[in-house]
Amino acid sequence: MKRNFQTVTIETPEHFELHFRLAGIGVRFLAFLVDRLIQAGIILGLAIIVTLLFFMMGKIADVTDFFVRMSKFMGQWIIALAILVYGVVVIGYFILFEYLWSGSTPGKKSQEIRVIRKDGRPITFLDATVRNVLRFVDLLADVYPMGLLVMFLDSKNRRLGDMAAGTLVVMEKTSADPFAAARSTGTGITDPEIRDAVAALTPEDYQLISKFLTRRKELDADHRAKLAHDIVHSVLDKAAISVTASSDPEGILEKMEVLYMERTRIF
Amino acid sequence: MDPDTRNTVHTVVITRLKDPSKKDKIALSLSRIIKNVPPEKISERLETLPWTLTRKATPKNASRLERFINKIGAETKIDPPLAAPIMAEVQETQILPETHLLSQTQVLSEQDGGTETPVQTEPAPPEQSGGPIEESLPASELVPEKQPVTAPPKESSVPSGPPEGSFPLEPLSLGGILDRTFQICRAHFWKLITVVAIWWGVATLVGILFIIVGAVAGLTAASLGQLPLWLLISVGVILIPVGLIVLIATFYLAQGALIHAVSSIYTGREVRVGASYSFVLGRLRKLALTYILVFVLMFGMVIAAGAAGAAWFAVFRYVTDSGLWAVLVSLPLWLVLACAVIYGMFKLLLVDKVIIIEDLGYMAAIKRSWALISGKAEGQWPRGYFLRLFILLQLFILINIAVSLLFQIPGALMVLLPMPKILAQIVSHILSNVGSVVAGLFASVGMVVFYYDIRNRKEGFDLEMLASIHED
Repeated sequence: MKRNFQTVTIETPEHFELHFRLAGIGVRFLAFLVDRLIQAGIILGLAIIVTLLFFMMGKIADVTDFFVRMSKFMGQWIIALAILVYGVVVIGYFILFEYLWSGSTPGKKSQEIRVIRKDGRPITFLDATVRNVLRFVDLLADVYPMGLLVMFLDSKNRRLGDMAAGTLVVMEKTSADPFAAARSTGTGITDPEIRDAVAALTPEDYQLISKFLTRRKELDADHRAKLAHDIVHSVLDKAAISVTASSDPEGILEKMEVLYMERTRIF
Repeated sequence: MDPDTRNTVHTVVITRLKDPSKKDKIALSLSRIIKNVPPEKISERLETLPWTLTRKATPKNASRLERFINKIGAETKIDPPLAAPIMAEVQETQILPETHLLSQTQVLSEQDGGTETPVQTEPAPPEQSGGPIEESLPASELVPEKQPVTAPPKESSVPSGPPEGSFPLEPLSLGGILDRTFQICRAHFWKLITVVAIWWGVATLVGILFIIVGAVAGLTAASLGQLPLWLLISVGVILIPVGLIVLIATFYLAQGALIHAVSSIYTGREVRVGASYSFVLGRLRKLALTYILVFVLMFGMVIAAGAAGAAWFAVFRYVTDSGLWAVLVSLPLWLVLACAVIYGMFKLLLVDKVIIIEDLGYMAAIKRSWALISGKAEGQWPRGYFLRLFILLQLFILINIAVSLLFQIPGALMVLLPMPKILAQIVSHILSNVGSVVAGLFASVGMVVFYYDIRNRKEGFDLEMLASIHED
């Protein structure tokens, strides 16, 4: 079945094809929010630490006087300076992390996405700088309206910074399912009917069985029992095998999965 | 080699019923492909097997007939036997009763040695096969070559599984739900906008009307008090409430149609605006009455919480004789009560999806919504379904703000352009409404995706759909 993920295929100079799954708009938005929360936390944390330090040193009044005098002297320039510092800190966060972590930031790591160049290579410092400086255009009231619009209209979910820097944001390869149930690896399955049924299994049937066994703990009891029963009957009916009323559907499915994996193991 | 290019024709015979007690059900299934013969007659015929269905089936159609009949619970004999298993592509194995794998068969005959009773099969409905069979086609063909034999059902009350090119059904993370929301909105943007445009059109027209009437009559806040009493009463007592009811009714109609449209997309069916509205009109009474029930419940929760908070405050005011202490002591309870009310309201957010998709209503829909948003999912944080919903709604609010800004800023800048004030107000009003509609669209679609995600996780809805595809 053709899947509706957005994938991109990159051919390396050695004519080796790399397939990446593009990160969706939602995941990118979520990663951005996580990064903004971390930034806000850092800024707030620093402000609290600095204030506490000055408080403990008894210099709070002096610092307050200094800022009042500065604001009278520099007027609106101090606001401009504050905005500039804020921008440098916010944008610098992304540039630093994306350069040092090969296209990843804490927010992107939480969503398992990464920035790469469109030729599949890791991004350089220049790429990170270009794509993040243009963040000023995407951001408005910190909710990314232009960024969302551009990503929505672009078929590869790129924002202006990505287009300018020639980068893509892709999903990282997911690791093995941590919730995959520990299955029996015993090879002592001698039930000939189950072997016959496994012989008739198609890859789609195996996929169905495997998905059910992986996710059965999350299902509620009634649906779990019904699904197990239906899947067993559907699979065994193909091999014209009948299931006795006392048989354990989930046990049968577990055996079938193990047997199928043994049969399709590549040496 | 395509089997249909060979000249061999096969005879398909029903030899035995696997479970004779299900004869009526098998007859009903067969009646879908046997024209002009009621299920009762077919059921009678099934009592005297074997029954030769056709003597002129091409290998492909013989194989499909065999699979179909085996699926519905009977055994077949093909003569001559099919040479080799037809290694059909995945699409060709998606044979479900509703898809009418046979668009027309030739005359089906009685059992061997019996009286030949011609039985006409029913041509597939036009919406499923692409059109009636032409007379010029040879009678030996069960399915005209030009017809797409693997065409998925265009309209079905029961989803038959996601066809090729649709979104894969699987449990999603929060980011995945947002991704899927954007994918659906991007892939079907104009259709979905059309679905909600009706309500938007009505609301915008009403707004424009008010602007024009106000401008023409020179109405201002000060001049309102000088209007005749009968006019004020007419507007306040009749026009405004009626207008509100019409707006609310069309809003919920549009919401219901949107839920149906998104559900169709999610389960791989075709989206048709008219069909979505027709579908919702059929459930409008249930929808409206359940909404009223939900409103009453929410109002009741607010009243109960308010009464409890006020009583608590009054008790402490009486005991401590100090307003400040009473407030300080009552504040935690008020926070808890407010959280409880919000919790209750959030738990009812799936009621409309349950009504439209599962055809439950009233208290059953409310209980179902409550039950769905209970429990914990597997996988990454957040695991609780309520917490996932809460965070998702906050994300939709942010997206709503972002999208609305894109339309409201140009609308606000209209006043700077050299145009009549009334025109600037109208354009600003239209842009603002468009922004609200587009922004609201994402949230509405996202809630349907969230509903299906819960069903995928709790009930294995995606596994059921996968199983229904691979039953053959």
